[in-house]
Amino acid sequence: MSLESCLNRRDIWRGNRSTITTRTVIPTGFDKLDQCLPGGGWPLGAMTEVLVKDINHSPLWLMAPALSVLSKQARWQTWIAPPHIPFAPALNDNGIELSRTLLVRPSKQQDALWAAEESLRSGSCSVVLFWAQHLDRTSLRRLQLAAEHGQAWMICFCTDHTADSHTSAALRVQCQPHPDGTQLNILKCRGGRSVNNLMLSRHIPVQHIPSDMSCCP
Amino acid sequence: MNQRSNTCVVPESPTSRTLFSVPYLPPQNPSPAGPSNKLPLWLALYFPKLPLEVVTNLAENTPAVAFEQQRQAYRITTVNDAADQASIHPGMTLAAARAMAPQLRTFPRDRMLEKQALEKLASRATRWTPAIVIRKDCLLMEIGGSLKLYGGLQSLLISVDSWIQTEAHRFQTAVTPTPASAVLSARAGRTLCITDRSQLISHLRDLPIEWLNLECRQSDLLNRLGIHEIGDLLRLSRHDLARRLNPAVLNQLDQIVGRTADPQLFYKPPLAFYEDVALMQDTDSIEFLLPAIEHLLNTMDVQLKHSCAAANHLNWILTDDHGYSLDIPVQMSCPHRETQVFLKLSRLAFEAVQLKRPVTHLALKAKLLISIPEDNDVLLADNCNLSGDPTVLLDSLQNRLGFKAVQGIRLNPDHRPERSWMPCPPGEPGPTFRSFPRPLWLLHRPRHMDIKHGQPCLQGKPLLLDKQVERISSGWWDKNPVKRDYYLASNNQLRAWIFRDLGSGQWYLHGIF
Repeated sequence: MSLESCLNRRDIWRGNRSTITTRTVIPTGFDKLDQCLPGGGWPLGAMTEVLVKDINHSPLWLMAPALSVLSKQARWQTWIAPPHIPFAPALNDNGIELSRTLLVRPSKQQDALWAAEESLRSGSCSVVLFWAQHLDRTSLRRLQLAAEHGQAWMICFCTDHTADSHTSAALRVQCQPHPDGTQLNILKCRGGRSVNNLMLSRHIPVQHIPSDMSCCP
Repeated sequence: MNQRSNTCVVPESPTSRTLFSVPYLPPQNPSPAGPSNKLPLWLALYFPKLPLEVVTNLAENTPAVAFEQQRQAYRITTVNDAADQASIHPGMTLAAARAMAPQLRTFPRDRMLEKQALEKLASRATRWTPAIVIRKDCLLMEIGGSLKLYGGLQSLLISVDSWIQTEAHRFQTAVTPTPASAVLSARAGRTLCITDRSQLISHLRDLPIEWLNLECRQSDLLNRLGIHEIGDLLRLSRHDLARRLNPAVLNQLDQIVGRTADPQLFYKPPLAFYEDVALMQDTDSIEFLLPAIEHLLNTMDVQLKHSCAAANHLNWILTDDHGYSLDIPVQMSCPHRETQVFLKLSRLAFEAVQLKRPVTHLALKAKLLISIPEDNDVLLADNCNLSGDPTVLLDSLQNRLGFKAVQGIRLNPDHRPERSWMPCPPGEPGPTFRSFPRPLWLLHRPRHMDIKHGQPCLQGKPLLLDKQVERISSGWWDKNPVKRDYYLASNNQLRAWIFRDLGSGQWYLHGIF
């Protein structure tokens, strides 16, 4: 019996091949990251949990290419409780459609959770970005189910104190700051393997003088 | 024509509260299309006790009258049954009536309240016909055009009857082909149901002339001539009648029998809704308000349906007896007419509110919009299409979290970073233009940075300056001029967009890439 025929047996499962290929994904815009994720991109209709050291420095540039593609859909992109102002000129330069952006600033964490779930369940959001310091297990589970229900991509930014705890998110990545970009650990990936120390460098913004500066007052 | 026409006269029965003796009608001809469907048919609803009913809800066994000032005396205009039995009649002076019945309760007449009551009745009657006329003390409804819709006169009258029974007003009615004759016979208490114009005169002949609008002098004259019934008047020569009385009287007679036109001014339901309810008990909990909310929304739903209108703004007003009042607005981004949508959004708006004091009254105020554009819906719903209506989510979020908490963003043509964007209503397209490379995050306000060893520091960690990107000097014409040199800087934590204020020489962090 050759090795090849042995591997072709139906009861043999090979761990390095992603088992779920039918799931809808969106390419991340970073080839190195795409290769590590099952299906070749961020999982849609699921929750992606991004763990960062400081929630005020969340690597938005990592999602920008995917957000730009999704903003072509006639659905909202809901930003719930962002730590700073999402800067419109930069979003526009990244190809993100501003008229799809919905900025939600609830006064309480409870309202924020409600807004996140409502947005996900409504089915009228392509992406929900949610900045929460910490989410308990029940909330995570609720949001993951809501994301599945509404076919929306839930991105949840949390602090990395919770890296060891259980999560029901489809994807959990940890971002460590690096001068050139970020060092990514895929802690949990449904249908894929965890990856450590994946170095992603941000696209250096090219210095350009736009020729069609129509903003001169 | 004669086959289809049907007529009936029902003897007066003052105690009876039925609208029409509908069973007396001969069966309707089943063919729905016919001349009678196109000819106008008028239903008059006369409310004889309205002046009294709007000012009091006393029990019938207490004699009560409504009065008003006529010339120099207070005269009685309306009496209730108990007062009637005590031989108090309209037209008496108040003093005379008080002398006859010392326990008499008297109420000044309030014509404003009467008008409001009639308008309320009229707006509810729009269910049967859009052509409604409000007279001084009665309603006129043109029902000829609604016969086909309601499956004939009989079922229409039954339907009107079941409504009017629920209203707390005494009424007298008549159905005739001309508006003036309908009002006349309803006032006279003659419950007529005539659809054929040719038979009209024969049924009006024996009505006393006192129900016509005649001046004192004219009715005295007619009395002296021995003319007591309308039939007598109709027999007289028109020329002489006009000469001796007044051409207006002749005109009145002509309108009654339908010889001359009688144009009517139709009631237009107001494009607004206001209704309030008194709560059963003082409440400071939102949950207890829910039945009242549902009741008001259902009432509004009826008016929305009748006037084919929609609403995009509701205002709930909670009040107590001591002048405390709380407004809860509910805003929708597009007009709706479904009660379920209103209920859901109202619940969300109420959830965001804390009642400080118990309230006793709940009111709903809405401005109605006519003619909203209707889209075609798909016949076979596409199950794969999950995306809901984007405005539904927006309305939910805004009503629960407040309108300032849910916003869109747009570009603004200004060189100053803090002004190069602005919040806007969600979904509003703004201008688009390319700009210099900008960070994805802008701080709400620039954060001051300390200088250590000649380097700007963030949380004690020095930032390495990469290069100067640009100098922004703008806004000298308004009150917020800026003069800054922007730099790219980074440390092992973040990549930052910092500037040195050229005026003060201080360093600030303004954005994060």
